[in-house]
Amino acid sequence: MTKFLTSTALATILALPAMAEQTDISQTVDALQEALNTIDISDDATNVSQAGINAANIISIDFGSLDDVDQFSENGMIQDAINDFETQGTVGNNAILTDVSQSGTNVLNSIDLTVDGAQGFDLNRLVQEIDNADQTATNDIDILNGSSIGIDQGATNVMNMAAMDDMLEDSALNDLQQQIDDSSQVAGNEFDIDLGVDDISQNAVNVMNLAEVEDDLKGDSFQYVQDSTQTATNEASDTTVGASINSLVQSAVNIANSLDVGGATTDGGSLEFASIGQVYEGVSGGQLADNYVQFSTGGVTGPAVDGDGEIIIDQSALNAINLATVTNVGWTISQSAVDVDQQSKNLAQGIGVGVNADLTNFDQSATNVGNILSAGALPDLVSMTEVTQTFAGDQLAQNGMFGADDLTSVTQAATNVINSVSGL
Amino acid sequence: MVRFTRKYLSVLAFFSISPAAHAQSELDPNLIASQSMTGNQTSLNYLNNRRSSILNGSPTGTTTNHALGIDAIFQPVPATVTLQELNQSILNATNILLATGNDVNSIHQSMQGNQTASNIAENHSLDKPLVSAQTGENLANIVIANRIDNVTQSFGPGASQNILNDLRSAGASLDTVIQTGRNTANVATAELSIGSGGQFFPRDTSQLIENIVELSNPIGGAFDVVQSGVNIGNVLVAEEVKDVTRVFSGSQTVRNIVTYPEGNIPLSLTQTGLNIANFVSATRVDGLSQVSDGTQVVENSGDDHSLAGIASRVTSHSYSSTNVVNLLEVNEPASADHVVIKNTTVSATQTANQPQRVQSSNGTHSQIGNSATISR
Repeated sequence: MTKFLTSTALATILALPAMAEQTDISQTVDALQEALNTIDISDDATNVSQAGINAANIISIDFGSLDDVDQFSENGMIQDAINDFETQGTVGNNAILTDVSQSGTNVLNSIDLTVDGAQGFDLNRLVQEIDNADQTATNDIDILNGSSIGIDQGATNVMNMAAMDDMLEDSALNDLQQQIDDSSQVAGNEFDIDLGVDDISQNAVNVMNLAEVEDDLKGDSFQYVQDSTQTATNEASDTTVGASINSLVQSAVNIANSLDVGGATTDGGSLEFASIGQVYEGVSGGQLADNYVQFSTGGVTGPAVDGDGEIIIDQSALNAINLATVTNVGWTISQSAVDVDQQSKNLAQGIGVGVNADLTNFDQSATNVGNILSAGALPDLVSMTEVTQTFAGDQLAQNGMFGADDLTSVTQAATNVINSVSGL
Repeated sequence: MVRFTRKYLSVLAFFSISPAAHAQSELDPNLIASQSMTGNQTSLNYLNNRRSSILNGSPTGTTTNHALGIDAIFQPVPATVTLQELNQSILNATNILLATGNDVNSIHQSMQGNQTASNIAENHSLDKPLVSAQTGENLANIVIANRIDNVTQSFGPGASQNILNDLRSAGASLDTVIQTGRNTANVATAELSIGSGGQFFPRDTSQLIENIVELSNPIGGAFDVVQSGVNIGNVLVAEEVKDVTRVFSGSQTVRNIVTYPEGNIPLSLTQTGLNIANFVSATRVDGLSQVSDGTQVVENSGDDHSLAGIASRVTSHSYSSTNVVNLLEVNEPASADHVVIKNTTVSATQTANQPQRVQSSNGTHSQIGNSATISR
């Protein structure tokens, strides 16, 4: 997220003027934004970076609090961030790629009042609404007769993000409201292994409705995703027979409705719903997280551990709906997810004939979660149901490895979790 | 049994619903929570290490391995040969309330979906013996707290938990194969008391575990197999249990199957099946009603080989199967202060009308119905 916030800050085009506290801001956007980078060469490339960023309705302030903020995009917003890199060597003169990075980022409706290393600023009310918007972030590297060292691809889409110290207002309405309807996010990375690769990282992330309240949330919060799809895919393929792959990391993540409150929440007084409400009404193909690697007779050797001694998961696919982490829940909380279709998939497919098509230190993790509450404390409300969790739909977690020869330290983990309440 | 169950449940609690699940939170004593789930949780881990299967469409598994030599395969595996290692694990979890150390006024958990966990591995490698561990775990309707005043847990109608651990090996050697399946539905455990409520495991709901090891080539090295399956439905663990009604009408099945051709038999084989329905462990019990009219089946088999035949050929073998329904364990109070407890009446009604079946004619087999053990 830090990386993402940096990108967002970069995208804050204009320096905002000093403004009085309690300033209201209203932003509306309906537009087409295209950020396209293309490189087409015929030989080696070293230290090449492509970054495409689209940002709309962005507020990033580190000097004061705000009153009411509205951010709207309700009429066919389109953001495309697309990076394309092509190179081809010859049989006698291979193309060598060294330290090539691609990043595609789309952000629609973001407010950030936090300050690094210090207390952030407050907000009275926030409304973020998106209808009929599409975000596409893709990175593609095509290689013919070539090999690569140090490839980094990142594709990120964000709709409705908010971060502040306190939410102050306690009205009869929702005081922190994030809504998304009829929208889509596609984050994808593609890379040609061709003759082989050493050190490749692919990250595809889609986020809808993310709120981080560092301290207290006084009013009601309501996060709503309806009829929207998220697709995060990573593909490393077009592998030549004989190629080897070292240190591959693929991560595909989709998140819909996430709330993090570092302090307390209170009875927001909303007549509509619970004090904290998260509602997801899905569609077929609602969340797809997919990683694919095609390996050959050189096999795949994963990174064993990172610098901190943590095991690195070579392929990880995660879908999450309705996550709430609240230190002190002061009133009711309701999490509802219906018509859910979560699919997390990892596939490693081997081609070619050979005794060295081995998988070494290779891990796959596929995870789906829905309606997860982590709370430090829950309230004392007589005769009221404080926590309600409802889930209807399907979760599929799937890992596949085909065509390998020997296996050394190979792990497949598939996890589905629905309706969980636990302590912080 | 109690020790086993407690240990298992503590493992369960530790088993990572949340990374911080063991931490103490301050849940309100009047906490009322409701959790419901319909739909499917499906998890699949699949491995096929048949190299070359893509390009020419035919397996090369029978190709002589020049590095090792086909003759060498007949020999016991030298300790210096590197082993293949495969670990497949699955967790499906739904309706979990972890309130360790805290009080819960009322918890309602309803699960009407299907949980399916499949670990499938097809081993074709000739080079190195395979060490594999396959673990499948399904959890539905679990509450852990200090005190639970009211609990209602419904597994079904129409719910199922299914686990398949399947290892197929052709023309390749195995080392140690461990297959573990655990289905758990409707568990309430409290440090102090469970006040009232019900646990329901109706007729059309089922728990199924299948552990399968299939060897298709008579050429292979020595290998060990451990297969275990545990189905648990309707469990109450607390110091005091009062006014709880439990119904178990569904089915619990554990199948442990090993098939192997003549000439390639396991060095050791351990198969364990355990079904538990309507289990209570408490110091004081009052107003407990248990009805069991479901089905419990454990099948341990080595295909095409009688158990007696296996016994004569397999160096080390062990089978056990246990079916338990309506098991009431009233424990001895922990301290002298509890003398008054010793004089209280244990009030419980147990009805069992269900088939319990074990397939094996060898090994250790237990069938328990309407058991009340009171330690005073």
